[in-house]
Amino acid sequence: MSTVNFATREITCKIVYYGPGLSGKTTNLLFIHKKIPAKHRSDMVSLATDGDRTLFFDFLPLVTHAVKGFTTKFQLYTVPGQVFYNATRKLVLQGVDGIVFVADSAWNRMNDNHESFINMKENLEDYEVTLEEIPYVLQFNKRDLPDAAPVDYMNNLLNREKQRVPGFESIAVRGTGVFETLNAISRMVLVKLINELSANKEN
Amino acid sequence: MPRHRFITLEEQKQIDELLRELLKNSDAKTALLLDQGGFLMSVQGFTEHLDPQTIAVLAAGSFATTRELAKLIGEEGFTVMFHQGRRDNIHISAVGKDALMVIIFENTTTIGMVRLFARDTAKKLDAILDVINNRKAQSPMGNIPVQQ
Ligand SMILES: Nc1nc2c(ncn2[C@@H]2O[C@H](COP(=O)(O)OP(=O)(O)OP(=O)(O)O)[C@@H](O)[C@H]2O)c(=O)[nH]1
Ligand SMILES: [Mg+2]
Repeated sequence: MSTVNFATREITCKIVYYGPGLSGKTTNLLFIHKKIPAKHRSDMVSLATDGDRTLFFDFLPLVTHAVKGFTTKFQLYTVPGQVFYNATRKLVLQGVDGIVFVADSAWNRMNDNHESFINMKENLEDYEVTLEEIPYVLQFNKRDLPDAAPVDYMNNLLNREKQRVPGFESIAVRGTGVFETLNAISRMVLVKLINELSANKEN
Repeated sequence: MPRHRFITLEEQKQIDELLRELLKNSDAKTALLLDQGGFLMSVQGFTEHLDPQTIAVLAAGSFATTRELAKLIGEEGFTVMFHQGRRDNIHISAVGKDALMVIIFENTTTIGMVRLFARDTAKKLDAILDVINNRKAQSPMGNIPVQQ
């Protein structure tokens, strides 16, 4: 749920990185965090296990000036991808405004990608949200792997809703494609917010 | 839950004022109002060396976890969480259905005082939040242009 605060002139939106375990969701946030100029950087919160697997979520607040006259804040979250963490994964989705689905390009992870996508739809349904109403993009990560599945194949597997969505190839460990993905989803979220606001104005 | 939420200048002032009043009455150190997703709506009082946004996100996560735990044992949900430290204590309580109040206080005051005023403040805050959350999508703003 985005919030527009007229007292502080701030717009806040929540973006969630979803996807199967080890697909690179946390790596995306780590790279974004590293690239924020030090004086604007706040801490990234990671609730993780000893082995660096996300246990509850990662959280990174971002401040931008994408909207004239307002400070625009994006709150980036990742979910824990491991199957048995579904209870906490679902909590993170609450109030989401936009989703980046991070898929793992390794051939042997195609099943996991697919299952995670279905799981995302089910969890959204519990909040009475469908993929038609929420902006989302796909990220095909780990393109550096020698056995990376072709992008066409992954699109066929994951990009088959009524409305096709943008897909981005990435190598999150090197930062390749990370900001392309983030820019696309944040723009989609803001455009939707602004369209809805102006539509309401005319009523 | 509404898809977008609008907070007006006047509402923000009222919320801030209620939290400041709570701090004065209860002698607590810091008070935060957030929604259950961890979105920070106000922070008042002592904030030096504190990162209110992170506190909000973690408090919301921890409250949500506790709520789910409650459901699993057949409880409807707990409305208060309290953690006692050596010097600083933290009190998290529900404000209506979808907001939370975090109060940080030292041992110079008591949990009883904090609880008493927290309950009272929550009621008043809930009335304001109700207006905010039930505001029809109608926005009090014009078009906001996205910069390219
Ligand atoms: N080869 C390669 N490895 C990557 C890439 N992106 C991430 N990794 C590695 O994949 C592993 C898992 O990355 P994480 O970002 O922790 O994965 P996650 O999606 O957050 O996993 P969970 O927290 O369990 O859901 C790490 O060892 C990363 O270094 C990539 O583009 N290429
Ligand atoms: Mg992770």
